[in-house]
Amino acid sequence: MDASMNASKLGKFFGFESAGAQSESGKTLCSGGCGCAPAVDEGRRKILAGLAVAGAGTALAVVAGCDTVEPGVDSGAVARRESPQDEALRLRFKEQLRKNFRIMTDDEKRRTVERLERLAWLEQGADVEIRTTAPREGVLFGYAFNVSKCEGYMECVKACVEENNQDRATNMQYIKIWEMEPGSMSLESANGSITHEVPAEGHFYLGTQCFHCENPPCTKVCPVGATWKEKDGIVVVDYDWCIGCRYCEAACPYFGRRFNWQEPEVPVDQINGSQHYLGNRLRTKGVMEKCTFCVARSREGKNPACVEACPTGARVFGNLLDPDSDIRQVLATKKVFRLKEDLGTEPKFWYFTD
Amino acid sequence: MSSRGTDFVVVALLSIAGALAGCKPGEHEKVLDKVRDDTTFKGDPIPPEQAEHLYHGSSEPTQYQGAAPAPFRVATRHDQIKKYRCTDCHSGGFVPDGKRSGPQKAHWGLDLHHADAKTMDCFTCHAPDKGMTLRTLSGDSVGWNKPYLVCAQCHFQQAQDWAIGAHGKRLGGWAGERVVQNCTGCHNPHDPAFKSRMPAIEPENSAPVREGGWTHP
Ligand code: SF4
Ligand code: SF4
Repeated sequence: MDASMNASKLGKFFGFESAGAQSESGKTLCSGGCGCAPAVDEGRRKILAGLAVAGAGTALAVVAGCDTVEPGVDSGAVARRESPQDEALRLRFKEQLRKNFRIMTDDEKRRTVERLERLAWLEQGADVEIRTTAPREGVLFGYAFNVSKCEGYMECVKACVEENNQDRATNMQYIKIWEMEPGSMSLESANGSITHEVPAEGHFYLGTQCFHCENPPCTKVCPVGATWKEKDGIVVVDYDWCIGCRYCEAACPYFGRRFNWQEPEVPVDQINGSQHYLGNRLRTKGVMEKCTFCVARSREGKNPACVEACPTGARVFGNLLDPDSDIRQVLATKKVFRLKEDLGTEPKFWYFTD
Repeated sequence: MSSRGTDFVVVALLSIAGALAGCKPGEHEKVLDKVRDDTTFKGDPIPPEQAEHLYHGSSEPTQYQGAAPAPFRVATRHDQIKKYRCTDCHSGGFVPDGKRSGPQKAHWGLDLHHADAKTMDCFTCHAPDKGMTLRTLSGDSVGWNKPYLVCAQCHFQQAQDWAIGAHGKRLGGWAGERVVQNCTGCHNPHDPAFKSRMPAIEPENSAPVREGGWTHP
């Protein structure tokens, strides 16, 4: 499944075809109940809400059909005298009926982002800004990790959890720091749960995360096209398109992906509101997530949170297409290696030593 | 065999050959080949005016170029000194002999763990004159913003790596002007080694290691 897949095909896949086609034609048959018709009586709204709760297909179609008529923002609960619960429900339904991110127009992206920002406020009380910053021409991100410098302090893991709004209840962490046995390069014998002071005598430390493979096996197995590699080399997941089948997790040879087995919990005062649609926005139960090279930061020119947090400077990040970049200098002057190179996955994540 | 039959065999053979060629091992695109061949890069991908937000600290151009492919800037240190000016106390020239033996009469917070007493004393790095600057081994004065010139005299390998970005930290971001941390921004010059401590993630909050080990899902 690739980017050329169009809306109607995806719609057919999910049986949403008629709703999608309707809204696209512009000739919507909206019968009110969603706030786009001028006069809607309260009783009818209640009934429709009831139908929606029951998951009735007709209610779905009605809600979807209003998409083109409604001006601008999909919120405005006050104007419609809608309860926050009803509004959240209505927005969630609209989210169910939108397209795959890759075939959305800029306007559709704006609408979906507005809905998601509103939902974050309604459901979690979080004030967030979700950007959709596109990849930049002439940029291919790459990463290098200095195994001689890492001391196992795990400041990177902490910064990553905070930056990316990872589930605190299950301790979801994209980065794993491994304590390596002296003289061994095998992760099979490495210690993944460190319970003592670091660095421990005679050991060295190696961090793993998603390596943003140039030839990623994970994206090829996704049955719905919910995960793909962006032009700047970042492998992303559209959380609202993911069906949670976990095929990609099985296909990844590097333990790069993480699954939300339960509703992720992030205390509202700890939510990072500076978000990207393909990155650290709030996830829900049953979706796959992973490192995105901090797409919310890296596409603005910043370093990923792990690079910034590392107190030993073991992490190097930059543009592989710029011959003067730090990452290219490391690749040109240091002995580098990647994990499981024989698989041909071409990770854009190199390890090096002093 | 009829001509239709031959056609069929030819087509079948061709498609099998095609399929085999498609999955021949070693045919994957090598990312570094792609990087080398790619001519799309046309300078700074984030215009300087957009990258200005990246680093707010103070920095200055460096005299140490090493193998760095382009000029870069280094975070300043002079503005970080807490006890200044040195001559407020050291008014009549410098102190005794700068040796590490004998009772410590001042700077009690300062515990010297850098080489041994035979190799280094105070005056290896500090100038014992009225200027109170840093100094090189041959006695040239070095400003407080350029400790890397002092460190690089012994740690030349690290300095080379630092200049190209393989040692130390870049401040701000990957884009825009390259500003790097000074040596003494990370290392305490009087006790430069990193210390052992507990990881930032407490053991009880460490993510569970997947059953079946690292490699198998
Ligand atoms: S490391 Fe795993 S999740 Fe990341 S791109 Fe490669 S295969 Fe996909
Ligand atoms: S878990 Fe989600 S992203 Fe992964 S393969 Fe399944 S649908 Fe695709």
